[in-house]
Amino acid sequence: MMPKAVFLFLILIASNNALALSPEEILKKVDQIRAPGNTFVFDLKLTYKKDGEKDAIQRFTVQVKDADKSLVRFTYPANNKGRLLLMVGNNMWIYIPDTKKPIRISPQQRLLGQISNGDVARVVYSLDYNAKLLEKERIDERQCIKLELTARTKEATYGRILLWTDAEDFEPQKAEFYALSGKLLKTALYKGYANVLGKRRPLIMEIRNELCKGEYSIMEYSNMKAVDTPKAFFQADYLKHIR
Amino acid sequence: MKHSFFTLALRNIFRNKRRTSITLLSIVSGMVCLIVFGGFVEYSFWGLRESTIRSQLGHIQVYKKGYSEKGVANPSKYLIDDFQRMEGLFYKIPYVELVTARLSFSGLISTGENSLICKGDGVIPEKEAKLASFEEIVDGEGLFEEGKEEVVIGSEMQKSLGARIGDDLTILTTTPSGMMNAVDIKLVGIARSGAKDYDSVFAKLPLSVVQRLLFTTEVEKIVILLDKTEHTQEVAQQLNLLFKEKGLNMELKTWNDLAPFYQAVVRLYIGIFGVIKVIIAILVLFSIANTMTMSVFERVKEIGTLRAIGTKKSGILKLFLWEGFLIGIMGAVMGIIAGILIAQGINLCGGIYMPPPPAMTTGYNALILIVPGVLLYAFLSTIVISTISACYPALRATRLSIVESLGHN
Amino acid sequence: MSIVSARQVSKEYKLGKTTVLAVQKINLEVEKGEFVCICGPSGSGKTTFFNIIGCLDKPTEGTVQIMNQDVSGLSDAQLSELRNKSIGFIFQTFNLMPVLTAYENVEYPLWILGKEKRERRRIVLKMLEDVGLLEHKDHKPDELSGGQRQRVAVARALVTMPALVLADEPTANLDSKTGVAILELMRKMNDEFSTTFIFSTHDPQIMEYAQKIYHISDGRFIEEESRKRG
Repeated sequence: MMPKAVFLFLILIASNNALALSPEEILKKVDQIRAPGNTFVFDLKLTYKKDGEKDAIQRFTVQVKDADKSLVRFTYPANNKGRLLLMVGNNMWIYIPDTKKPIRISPQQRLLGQISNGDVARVVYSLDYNAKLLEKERIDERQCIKLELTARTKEATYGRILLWTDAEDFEPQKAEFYALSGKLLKTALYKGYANVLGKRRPLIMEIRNELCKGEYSIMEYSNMKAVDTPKAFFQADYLKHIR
Repeated sequence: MKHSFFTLALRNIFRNKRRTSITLLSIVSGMVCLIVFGGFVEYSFWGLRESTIRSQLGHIQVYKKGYSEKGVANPSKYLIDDFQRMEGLFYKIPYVELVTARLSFSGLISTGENSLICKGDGVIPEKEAKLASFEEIVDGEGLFEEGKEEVVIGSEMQKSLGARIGDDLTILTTTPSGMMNAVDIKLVGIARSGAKDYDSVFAKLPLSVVQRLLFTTEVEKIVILLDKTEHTQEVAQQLNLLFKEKGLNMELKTWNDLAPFYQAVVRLYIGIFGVIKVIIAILVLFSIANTMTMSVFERVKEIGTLRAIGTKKSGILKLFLWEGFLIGIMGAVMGIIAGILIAQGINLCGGIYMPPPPAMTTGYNALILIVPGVLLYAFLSTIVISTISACYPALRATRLSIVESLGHN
Repeated sequence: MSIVSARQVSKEYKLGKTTVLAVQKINLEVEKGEFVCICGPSGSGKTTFFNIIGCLDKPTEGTVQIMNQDVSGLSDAQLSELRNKSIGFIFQTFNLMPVLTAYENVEYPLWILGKEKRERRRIVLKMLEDVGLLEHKDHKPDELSGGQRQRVAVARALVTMPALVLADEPTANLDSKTGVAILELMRKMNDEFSTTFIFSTHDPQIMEYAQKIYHISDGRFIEEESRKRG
C-alpha cells in the first residue's frame, strides 16, 4: 500500500507535465530560448514609437560574452555611428568617437533614453531572479504558465517581474517589470518566433513604457551567430581602440 | 598755537556764504551718492545671500567625510546613518535654530504624457517650512506631513511639464545599487525661488518617501539653519571641534563655500562700487580745490600782509589746510545726516524697483540699508579729500611773493 | 644804535626784454629813536626801497643790516621771525584782517610771537587803550571808520615792541584832521618807546614831524634834509 503522499505526488506528476520542471528550471529554459548560449553576436534594429510622433529608428551590432558582458556598436543613424556601449555586469560605459575616455553611466542616468530598454532586453532570468510558480493563464489562444520573479540581489534592475511562458514549450510570451514600490514600469512581448541556431527563438521584442502612455519600442534581432569576441574588447579603457 | 589759525580759517569759510554753500552742496551730494549706493549694494547682497541660504542651502551643511569630494559621483557610499544622534548634538550648539536632513536623487518626473529630468530633495516638511522662507509658494501649498506622497515642484518645471495642482505624477529613479523604483505622488504645490535653473529641475518630497524610493534609512545631508548669518563662522568652528571630540567622521561646508554665484556677484558689485568711490572722490576733490583756489586769489593781499607781519610760509599753509579740513568736516556731518535722511526717505517710498538679476526670474524692491562701514568711509574720506584738495591752493599761497601780494588789488 | 643800515642797495627788475633799475646804490643809516621820511613821487623807487629795508624783498646788490645784523643770509623763516619781532608795518590801505575783531587783529603778531594768552591780553588791552580804541575792541574793521582802522593798524604794528616801524603813506587815505591824530599817536609812541619810525610819504604834514627827510627820485637819493623836531 503506497503512502497517501506518495500517491498524490505521483498523480500530480502524471497529470501535469509542466510540474516536472521547477520554476528555476523553467527560467533556465526561457533563457536558453532567448539566447543561443553565453557567447554570440547579433544585429539589432530599435524602433521607438510614440503617439503622434514619427518613428525613430536606430541600429546596432551587439557582441555578448559569458552572458554578462555586452559590447554594443551604434551603426545607424550616421551621427551615432561609431559610438560604443559597454555593459559588464551592472556597470555601463559609453564611448563617443574622437574623445579621450569612455564615460561611465550610473544607474540613475540610465533612466533616460533608449538605454533603459537595454535593461529589459538584457535580463538573464535564471541568474538574477528567484522564481515562484503562480497560476496558469490563457493569453490569446495559448495556455501559459505565470511565474513571479523576485530579485536575488539588490543590484538587479527590477524588483519584481511577472513572466508568462507557454505551458508546453516554455517559450516566453510576455513579461511585466515592476518597481520596488510595486508600480508597473514596463511590459514586454516576445514575438516573431523563428528557427535560429537550432531553436525557435523570439526575434521581436515589443516593450511598452507603462509610465508614459502611447510610448513603446520594438527591438528586432537578426543575424544571430555563435561567435566569440576577445575578452579585451569588454574593457572600458580598450574602447577607444576598437574600430 | 593752532587755536588762532582755526579761528581765522573758520571765519574765512563763512566769508563768502554762497560759495561755501555750493562747495558744501557738492560734498554732501557726493556723500549721499556713496551712502545710498553703498546701502543699495549691501541690501542686494543681503537679499541674494539670504534667499540662497533660505531657499536652498541653509547656513551650514554637514556630510559624511569625503562626500563633497567623491559623493557627487557615488552618493550611496557617503550617506549618514545616525542622523538622530547628530541632531541631538547639533541642537546644543548656540545660535543653531534648525537642524534637518535631506536625501536627494536625480530621476525622471512624469505626468504620463511628459517626462522631465528632476533633481529631487527629500525633506522633513515641518522643518523645511522654516528653511524655505525665501521660497515663494506661488500656487497650491507647501509640503505638509511627513510620509504623505506629495510633491512640490519648481515653477519653471511646472511650465515645462504642463502639470496642474492635484495632478498625479510619477517619479522614476534607481536605488543607489541600481534597482529601478517608481512612486506616484500628488502635485500639491508650485514654488519659486527666483533662480531659473533651480526652478526648472527641483522637486521636494517628504524625506520618508524618498527613503522608500531609494530603499534606505539613511540621509545624505544635514542642513543647519542659524538665527543670524553672521554666526556662521563661529558655529562652523564649534561643529569642527565637535567632530574631533566625538570622533565623528563628518565634514561640513558653509553656505559661502556652496554659493560661488553669490561670491561672484559680491566681487562684481564691490568692483563697481570701488569705481564709483573713485569718481566721487575726484569730483569732490576738484570742487573743493576750485573753491579754495578762488579763495586764495581773492585774499592775495591779506596773505601778503600776514606774511609781512611775521607769519611763516608754514603758517599760511596751515591756514588753508585748516580751511579745507573744516569744510570737509562740515560737509561730512551734513552729508551723513542728508544721506541717512534720503536713504530712509527712499525706504519709506518702498525702495527702488530692480529688474531680475541674471539667472533669476523676479525683480525685487531694493531698500537702502544704513551701513556703518559705508558711513564711516564716506565721513573719513570726505575729510581727507577736502584737506588734500586744499593742499595745492595752499602751497600756491605760500609761494606768492610778499611784495607782489601787497601790491595786489 | 644803528637800527637800519643800507649800503649800496640796488634793485633791478626784468620787464620782458628790458631791465628796469628801480633802486640804484642807495645808502641809508637810521639810528634808534629817529623819525625819518623818505619822500618821492610814485615810480621813484620809494616803495621798492621801502620793501627792501622792511625785509620784504631782497636787493640785487648791496647789503641791509637791521640792528647790525646782516639780513642777506637769513632764511625765509628767519626773516619772518625778524619781521614779527623787530619790524612793524603800517600800510596805506590799513590791511586789517576783515574776519578778525580789532582786538584780534592787534593780538595776531603776539600770537605768532608765541606769547601766552594772559600776557597777550594784557598787552593788547594796553595797546588799544593807548590808541584810544578800547571801547571798539570787539568791532570788526568794517564797523570802524578809516581813522579807527588805522589806529588799529598802528596798535598792531607796535604790539610786539619792534625796534623799527615802517609806515607806507599812513595818512594817504585819511582826512587831514585824522591824519594829524595818527601822526600825534605815532609821535607819542616814538616818545614813549623810542621806536624808530621810517615813513614813506609825499604828505608835507608828515614831513613836519620828521627829523630827517630823504628825497628820492629815479631810484636815487637826491637830497637829504635835517630838521629839528617840529
